[in-house]
Amino acid sequence: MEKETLLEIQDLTIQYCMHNRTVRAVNGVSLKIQKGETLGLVGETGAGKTTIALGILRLLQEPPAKIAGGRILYEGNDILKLPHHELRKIRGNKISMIFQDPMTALNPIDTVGEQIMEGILLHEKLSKKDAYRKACETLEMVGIPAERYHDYPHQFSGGMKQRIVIAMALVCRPELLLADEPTTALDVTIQAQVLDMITRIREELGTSMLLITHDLGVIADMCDRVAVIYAGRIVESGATEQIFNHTSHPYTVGLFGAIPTLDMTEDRLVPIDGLMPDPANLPDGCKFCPRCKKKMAVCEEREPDLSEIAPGHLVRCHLFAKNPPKDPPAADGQDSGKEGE
Amino acid sequence: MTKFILKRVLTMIPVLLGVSLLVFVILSLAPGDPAVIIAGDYAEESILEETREELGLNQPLLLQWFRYVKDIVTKGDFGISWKTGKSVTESILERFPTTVLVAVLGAFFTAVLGIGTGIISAVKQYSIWDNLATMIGMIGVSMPNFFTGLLLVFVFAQRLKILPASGNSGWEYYVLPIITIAFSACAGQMRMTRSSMLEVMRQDYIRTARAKGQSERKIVMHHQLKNAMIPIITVVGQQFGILLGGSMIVEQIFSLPGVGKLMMDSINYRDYPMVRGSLLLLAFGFCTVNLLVDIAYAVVDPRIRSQFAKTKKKKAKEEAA
Repeated sequence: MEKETLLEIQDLTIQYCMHNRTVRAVNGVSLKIQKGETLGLVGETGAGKTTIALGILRLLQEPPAKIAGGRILYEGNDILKLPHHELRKIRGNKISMIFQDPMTALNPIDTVGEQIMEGILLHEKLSKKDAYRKACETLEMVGIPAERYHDYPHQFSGGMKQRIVIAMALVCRPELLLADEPTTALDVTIQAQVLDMITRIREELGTSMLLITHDLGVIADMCDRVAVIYAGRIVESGATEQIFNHTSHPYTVGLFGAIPTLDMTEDRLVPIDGLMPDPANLPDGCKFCPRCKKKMAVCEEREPDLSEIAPGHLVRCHLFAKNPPKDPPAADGQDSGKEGE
Repeated sequence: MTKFILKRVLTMIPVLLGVSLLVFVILSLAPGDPAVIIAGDYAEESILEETREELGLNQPLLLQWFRYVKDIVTKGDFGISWKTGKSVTESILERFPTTVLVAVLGAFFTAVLGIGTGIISAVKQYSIWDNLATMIGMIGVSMPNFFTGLLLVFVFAQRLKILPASGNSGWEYYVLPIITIAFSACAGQMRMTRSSMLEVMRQDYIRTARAKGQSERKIVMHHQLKNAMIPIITVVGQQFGILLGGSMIVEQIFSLPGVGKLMMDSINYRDYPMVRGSLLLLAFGFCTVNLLVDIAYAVVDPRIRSQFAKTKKKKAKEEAA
């Protein structure tokens, strides 16, 4: 059954313009997030994951960043064209964001309670007293005693700070949560706690989520669908089982090869050779071609389009493009395949 | 907090002792014999000797200093002016209100102008306003006080005849001196505010505030400015401290009877007790302002505040044990 689409990104292109070069961080990305689902966005550092999330809320520092093209449709409106006061009604209210580094995401001179309450007062018509009560409830919800409302960020540990950041993001019960590597800055035991908490609250509130991570384990745990991004382009996307059980794109295969598994004794992990191409100087053909073990002559010449190899499972690789469908059905796939060059 | 303030007040004592000793040594090394100035150029050697004996100038320097400090500590006596014969304390206190008024107003307008333009410069970085503010600021900082002052006197007092050039018998006499002070000092304030604001602007928590849907105005005035405050307070404090010791040049140009002018006249006349007294006041003013600045840090930043609280907790723990 087709679920309702909450957010649709079409052909999003974001560049960072420095004085002498243009970094092409996001190149024609299309994504769909449905109501209630969790979409995982996975890729290595510098692939453009965070830029996409920040782009959705228009939080990129402009300049140097520049949204060069595309549309971000939310409730039928293009977020990129919204006037500032309309955008502010969405930020923190309908769509909110959990940031990567909890150490720096909180304002050091305000109490954590004030910072949570700030969002409530902005978006809900509540008296200060009611807002205070709600902020305390939210603190309790993320497992922090309400007495700590009056404490400052420096009085909390990293894991607790991330809980506060999450409380801040969820206090207005947003429809969509953008979680940008919410556990990267935390140690492993705390990671599990925080992820469990996000899942629990998300289910309670029925929030959809875009989960950005480079941790495939987290993806397997939490996501309904996955999009793998490489050099600002989606290279493979589909349901989580499809990606994990029928891994197709050589890059995704490489990613899986670089993590240890429990059922095999391995002396060494297999890294993907080479580095991601300089985003200011991307190759003409397939972006992954220079590092690909299965590259062919055509790979250097022409970038492949997305091909649907199973319902909803899209891969951008010439290996799978033998019978490229002319107009790939969008089905519940998040990539409309419009970005072929 | 009280303990911290008390501790800081106590540390002021060695600072002031050091300053007074330094002043003693430097004045004794300065050319010119005070006895000659007091008794006159053509006074006989015997009279000069008598004068020196009277002023205690023949005694060893350390002994002179020791007596000076003893008089201050035991009697609150800073000596008697060699020029007027009046008590130093009285002369300084007489002139202090003028200096304080100039200092407070000067520091206030410097801060308002400097911080205001600094915020605009940071928010509209590289805009025409930013460039304009930087340019005017640079002109201000490059023009020495005496030049700005004289220029203002020439334009407003001599040509336009709308403001008085010197004296202090009304508020209008303070306008030009304060403009002179603010014009040359606000550039530093502006640059500090600008760079501090720009630094904070790139912090993650500013993005967090934006992600909450906060308005730009609130982000700048609350999240950004409050976090940028520490270096700004430091500069405001420094400037106030300097002004509190008497803005010598400005007071001289506009004939404002403040401590700065008093110090200047006393130096010319080799009126050592007066010089020492006013320099000590300057040092004391500086120390006090520094203390106020430190307290202001704690008010602005909870992280610094919690350091005071920690010492309190430690004390409570010790008492419990």
